[in-house]
Amino acid sequence: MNIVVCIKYVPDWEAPASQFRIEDSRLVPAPGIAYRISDTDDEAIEAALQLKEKHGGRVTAISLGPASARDGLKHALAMGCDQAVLLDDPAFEDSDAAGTAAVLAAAIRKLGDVDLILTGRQAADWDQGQVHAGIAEFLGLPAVIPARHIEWTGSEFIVHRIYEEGYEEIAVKPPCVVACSNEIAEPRYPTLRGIMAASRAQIPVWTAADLGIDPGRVGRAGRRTRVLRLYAPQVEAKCEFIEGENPEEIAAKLVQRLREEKLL
Amino acid sequence: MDLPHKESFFNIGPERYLNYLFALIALVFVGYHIYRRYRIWRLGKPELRFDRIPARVSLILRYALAQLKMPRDPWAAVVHYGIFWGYLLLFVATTLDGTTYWLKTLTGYEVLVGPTYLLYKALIGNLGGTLALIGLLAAFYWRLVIRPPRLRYQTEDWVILGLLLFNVLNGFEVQALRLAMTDLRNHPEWAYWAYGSYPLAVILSGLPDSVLRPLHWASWWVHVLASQFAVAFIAYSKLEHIIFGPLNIFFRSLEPRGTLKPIPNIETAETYGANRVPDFTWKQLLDADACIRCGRCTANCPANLTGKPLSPKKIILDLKAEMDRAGPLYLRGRQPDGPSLVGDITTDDELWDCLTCGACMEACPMEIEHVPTIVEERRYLVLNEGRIPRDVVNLFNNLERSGNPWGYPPTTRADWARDLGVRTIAEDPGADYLWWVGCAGSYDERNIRISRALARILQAAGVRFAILGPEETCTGDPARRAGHEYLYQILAQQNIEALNRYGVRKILTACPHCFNTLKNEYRAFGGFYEVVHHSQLIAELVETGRVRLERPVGQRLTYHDPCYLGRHNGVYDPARLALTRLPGASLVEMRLHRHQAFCCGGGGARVFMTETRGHKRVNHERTDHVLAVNPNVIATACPFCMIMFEDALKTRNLTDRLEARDLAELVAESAGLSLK
Amino acid sequence: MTAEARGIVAIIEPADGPAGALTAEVLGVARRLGNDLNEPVTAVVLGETVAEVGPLWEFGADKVIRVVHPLLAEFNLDAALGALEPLIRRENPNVVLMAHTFQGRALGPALAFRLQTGVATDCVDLRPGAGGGSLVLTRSILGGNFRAEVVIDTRPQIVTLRPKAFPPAEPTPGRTGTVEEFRPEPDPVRVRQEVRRRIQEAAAEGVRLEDARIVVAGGRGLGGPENWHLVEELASALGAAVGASRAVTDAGWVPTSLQIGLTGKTISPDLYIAVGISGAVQHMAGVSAAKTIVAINKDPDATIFRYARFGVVGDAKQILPALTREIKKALGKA
Repeated sequence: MNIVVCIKYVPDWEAPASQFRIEDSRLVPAPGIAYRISDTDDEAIEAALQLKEKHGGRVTAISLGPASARDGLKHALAMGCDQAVLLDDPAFEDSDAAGTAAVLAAAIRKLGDVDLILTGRQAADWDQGQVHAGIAEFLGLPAVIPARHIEWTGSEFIVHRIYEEGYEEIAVKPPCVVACSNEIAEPRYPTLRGIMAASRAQIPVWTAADLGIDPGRVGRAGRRTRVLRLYAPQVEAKCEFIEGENPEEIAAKLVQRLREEKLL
Repeated sequence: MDLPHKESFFNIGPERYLNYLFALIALVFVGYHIYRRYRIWRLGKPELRFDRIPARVSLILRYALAQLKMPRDPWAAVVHYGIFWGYLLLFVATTLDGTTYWLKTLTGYEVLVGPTYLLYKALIGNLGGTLALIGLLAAFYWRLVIRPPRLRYQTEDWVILGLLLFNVLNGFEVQALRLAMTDLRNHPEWAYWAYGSYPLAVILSGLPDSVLRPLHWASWWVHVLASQFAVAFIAYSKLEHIIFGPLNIFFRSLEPRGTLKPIPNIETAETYGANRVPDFTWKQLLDADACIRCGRCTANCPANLTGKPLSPKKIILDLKAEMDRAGPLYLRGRQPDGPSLVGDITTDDELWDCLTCGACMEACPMEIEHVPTIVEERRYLVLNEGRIPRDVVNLFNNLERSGNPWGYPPTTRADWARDLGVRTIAEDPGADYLWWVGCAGSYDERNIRISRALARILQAAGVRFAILGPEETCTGDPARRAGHEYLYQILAQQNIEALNRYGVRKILTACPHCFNTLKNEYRAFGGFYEVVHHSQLIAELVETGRVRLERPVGQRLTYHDPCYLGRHNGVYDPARLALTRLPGASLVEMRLHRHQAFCCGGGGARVFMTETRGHKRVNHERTDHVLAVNPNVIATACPFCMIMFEDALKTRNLTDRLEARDLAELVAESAGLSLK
Repeated sequence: MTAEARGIVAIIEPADGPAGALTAEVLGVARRLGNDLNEPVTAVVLGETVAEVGPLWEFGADKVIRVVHPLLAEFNLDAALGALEPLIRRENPNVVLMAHTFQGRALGPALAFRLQTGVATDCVDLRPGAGGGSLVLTRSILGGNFRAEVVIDTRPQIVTLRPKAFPPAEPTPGRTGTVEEFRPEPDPVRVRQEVRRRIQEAAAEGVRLEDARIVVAGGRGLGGPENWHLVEELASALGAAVGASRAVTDAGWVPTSLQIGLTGKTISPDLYIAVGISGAVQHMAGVSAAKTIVAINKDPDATIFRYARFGVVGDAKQILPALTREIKKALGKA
């Protein structure tokens, strides 16, 4: 089973807002804020590795530049991916989700012979959740989002798709796109052997020319959406702390205050 | 000849020389056993333990001969001193006896005559027998009546005790029979010196020679056979500790107790950590053979005492069992399959429970080094297998990404000191001390208060110090102790590079974990510093009057020894000295203090892990020790201890009667300095 | 589809029904936009489950299109795309709105790519652009730490709306409109996925998390799954729904369906009691519509207290039993 995992390398989204500044409609992290594989993309890698361990095949990680995404791909290799490809070209800069999906789709097409394409459910920086749909539509494949479990029966995938009340069992034939939710797997921590092998690995870079992409369809030129403005919403702190000698007293005071506020 | 003497081989004919054959057979058994085990140790990796021979000889004198750890358990002391010294004297007696015989036979010269003989009989032979008898009888009482839970009660233990007791009694009987036929008749005044067998000799003297002679002959041979059997039994029982114990003590690490060794050539190694026999060092394998299964390690293990699966004894004995099972196969060039030592036999949970507090090593009479072995097995889990608890993965990720265990932004590391006028080493390269603040002191709200108190003390005392600021990262201690040697080395190299760039010589730190790492473990990577713990500097400032303690603080204090300051580095007194100088305060000691102090529960990266196993949390247990001496302040000198105590006091609603305070806070308050 | 694109299409969630809260929210936005832009509002109902269209008119739809096909009985992304693509092409609207539910998350982007247009997901606010240009859509990014205003340059502008972020439409009783049926022929070859079964995990009885007036949620600070009953007992005393932080659902203490936050559910209770939840932005993104937050946490510096109206610093294991007792007493259940 050949699996492609699309990953995004993003600034640590758990860093406090104070560690980002807004510059020209972009978020710029403070120096020292680490980049990491986006939330749920690492879970997608883990899901791919588990499928491979069960059914054989190979796992390829791909990521759309910038060049620093190479470190994210190294991490994917250290976790156990068989190969990685960096997609980097000045023409890709400032791509929106549509441009990104177009580049990833072209790369997947170039890789050929793919049974399953995994992505995270949404990137942790922009939280859009669009790219998986774009890849599926560009490649004409079915897509399932968001998945918390995937299994391969030998002829089809059974994907557990989350919905409000629980999950649905969806049968889908390969090749297909599945966007993974965080529950799908717990990403492994790479072994040192993996880290060492990854540090020696060569990661090829594919450009627009390599992918046969018309630069007018991607990057700034190919955008369907634009960012007008970024800002930080204000949160006002107004917490009233309930204190007391013991839990009973605290509980009684809290209940009293909630009643005064007509919340009970 | 009428000088006191003894007729060697009295009543034993030429068959006497068979005695040497039996001795030789016994020694062959023992020798072959040592050789077999030696070959298994040689499967292990190299490790330098042949340096500083005088210090090692001193170890032998203190821990193998004087057995300085024995008195910690009075019963064990009586039993072991009795048996050990008794049998040692008996061995000397037999050796002297044999030497005398051969000297006399070959040269005609007799050594053991006259008063020398009588003293030999009284102070070597009979004293030895008597001591051994006392020790053995005490052993039976201890095991049958007192029944300490830390001991095991297996057939082998009873066989050994029975055999030793039989040999002592049998020895007295042989001597008594001889005395009854010789000294008692000719020179009764010589016989008193054999006070151990004299009463029996008097009783037996009424019997005719026709009974005494054959009885003596038979008893003598029984004694020879039983003794040589006991010698041979060394090879088949825990008696092997007679050989492996002193050997292990001789080869003990001479580093401070908590110091771990780097993985050599980590970039090119094939496997990491230890799981198979050849993955361990020869000394770690020797450790396993030196184990006498006394259970002191487990009886002192805070994880075990709070109901967790970890038992340091089991860790060591699991390794020994693996050596027994797989060692011979490796020697025959085979790769053994079957269960994995780490995972199947020693479980992951056991390994993750370890606090690396070193209580096991401190307790072990054989100087077994449990903690480095446990860390080596953790290294296997982390670096080789990637089997890591989620909390530890988070720890590693945070250390990697942010250089601190909680994932706070590195840029805000020095924010705690923003309004205090604390300078960075870049701003003041001539500072006397580089103050290593550490992650807890930089980011943890509770420990920031301690950093601020210490900053004010240093400023008030006119100490010229500087911090690294955002250039500081975690020393790597939690990563290393959680088994991630690679991450540790990356952090260590980064820090050493920064420290050396500023030409730092002298480091001050309030964190015992940083203290241990900077002082003992950075050396292996080219970082040589004089490292001072804040308790040491504060004690000096108080003693020299540079800080004046004027206001009363606390009334009844107890001091909790941080493992990495006390047991691991032998720093017990400075904090106590400063605490006793606090006006109006009295210092009470908990039952377990100084080298026996009980871990707070935060060592070995456990402060960053959820405590899920066991019937009690370690910090709650330690808090019970505190409550037992009823103080109103627990004084600490370690940020992790502080975090663990704060947690215990809050979750147990004890904050109204008991406070956890760092030494620096108490001193700052007493000196009238701001605590804000 | 170019400049002549006109009209607002609101896609109604079948599970929500014609008078549901989400329907009211989406149609509320649609109606306001319709008024502002002077464009008609069309409600599109997928599947045959919705028999009654009256409420849709009352909420502001001028026209209701019922898309009828056996495969649309329950949500199937391929079938929905196959049905909606020709319909939207035919209608050629300016804007397509839907709720950012698990259906909307899948459908919005997929429909946009199928129609080769742009989409903005999980919008928390929107307004017409200056001079009748593209809508200005506000999205929350980086887990909620920042907001972005984006525009879509292509038509239709597809927008998914964060539940509870917009005021629901006030029904105008007696308001009517037109209704038509659209019978698409989704190409069976393109329906490449099949929903084999649905497994309902959320508590069948009791209050739905999304609709609950009071929600009690637990997080990692509870210590372990063995303490979860404390949350349930408090919720039961209050008649509240139970929720959880992602840390807890990831750890497998409780089913995923209880997860509140950016990747879980969005809730808007009057009273939200967060127990042992630190208050990461990703979690707070799911409770931003809660009117009053009570936080119980051991760590006085936990972020949650920045959002909370009332805070208790303490161990949940001790506070919760006491609180449950007090509530029972106060509500006369003791």
